[in-house]
Amino acid sequence: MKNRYLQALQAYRELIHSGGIQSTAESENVFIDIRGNITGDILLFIVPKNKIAANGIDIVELIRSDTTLEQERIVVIESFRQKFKGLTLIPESLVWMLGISFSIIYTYWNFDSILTLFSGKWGVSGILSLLPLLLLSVITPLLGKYFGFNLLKPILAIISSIYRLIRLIRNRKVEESQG
Amino acid sequence: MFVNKKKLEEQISTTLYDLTHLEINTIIKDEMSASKAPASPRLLLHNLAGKYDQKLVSMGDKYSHYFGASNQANDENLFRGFRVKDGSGYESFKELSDRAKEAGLLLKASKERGLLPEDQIDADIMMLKRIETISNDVRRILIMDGVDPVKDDPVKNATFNFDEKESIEKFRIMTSREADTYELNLDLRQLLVIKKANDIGTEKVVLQTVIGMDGDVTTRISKAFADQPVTFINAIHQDAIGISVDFWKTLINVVVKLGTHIIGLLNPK
Repeated sequence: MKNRYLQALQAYRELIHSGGIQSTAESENVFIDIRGNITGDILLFIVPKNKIAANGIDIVELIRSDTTLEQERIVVIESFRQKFKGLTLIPESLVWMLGISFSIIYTYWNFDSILTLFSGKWGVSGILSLLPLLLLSVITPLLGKYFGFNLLKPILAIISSIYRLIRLIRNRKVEESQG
Repeated sequence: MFVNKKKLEEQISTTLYDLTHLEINTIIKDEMSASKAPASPRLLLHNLAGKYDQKLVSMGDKYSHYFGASNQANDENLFRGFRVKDGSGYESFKELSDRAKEAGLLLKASKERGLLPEDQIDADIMMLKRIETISNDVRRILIMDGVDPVKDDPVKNATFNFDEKESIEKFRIMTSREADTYELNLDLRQLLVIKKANDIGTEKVVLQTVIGMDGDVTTRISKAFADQPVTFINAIHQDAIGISVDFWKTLINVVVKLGTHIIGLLNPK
């Protein structure tokens, strides 16, 4: 768990500094550079090493003759996967906290009904009151797929605000050191 | 309040498109650049304008053998011509877009008349189309209200012209605080568009997969790669698709959980 938080911290730090996350690897003949952003888009660059490229050798030949490429692919993909996993920590934690808050409020509102249910007194009206919840629970995943990503916007806004704040603090420091 | 309704609708639909589509690009680059991309959006745009100009010049060199000498006007103005606007403001990108458009039309016409060799000409026409399209996208962003503080401020406008290289050079050596007052005010989506355009630049995209939330998956494969497929490139592209989809799936699960919590709260007694 501790490892996951460290991973997340590293991923967010990179995201705030460079606006994305990146993993690179170097094999015998080529560089592999993978870049991702918060919306899940990925750019994957395959670049021949400068010296070899200057000799005019075809990149396809370079890739085919590279004996360490497969090993490097596994390393770079795993590293990138871990960083992306780290990025999901904030939304997951946010929902976890909201979930606890909602549960507390719900229990507070429905304390009497919950006590009645625990006492084993089931009635038709009680069952009917559960039906809307059942129906909405089925619809929610479907609606979530269509509209869910709008909920990401506040998270993006928070990250953007943190970045601006850091920039502001850094600028102030520069100004103080100059003044 | 309703004046900007159309703009708002456009913004919502493009944001929704971005958030409901994943794009995975596999690109083969000629060489690795040692320098990091600048953090400043203005400098990113300047990088991008430089890349586009360089590409137009090199393509002009490539085809000058076929029509450079016979048509001086084209040779001068379309591919290889000197940049009148050597900065990275609205007019600079208009110039780049116009050059790419004219060059594309010239290549197409020459191809139809059989004046040019067939190999690579389609890829070059596509590259010119990319330069034209992205330049137009950048112009659209630059002209939006509140994006460019120089455009909106008559005092700054009189002293700074980001269509000229000198203004960019002055901006580059400003203190961070001063530079911030001239910096573009971009939202996250606009910044991502510019960053991505700069990352891809004028490199060859060999594989591109676009996945829509509605279930549509489109994969584009460059002709050169289709003729000579490489297992490693296919495999790493698949890996990247897997990571991207997993990330998306996790976020959707988060949203669904959130929805379930809210519905649980609103459940009538």
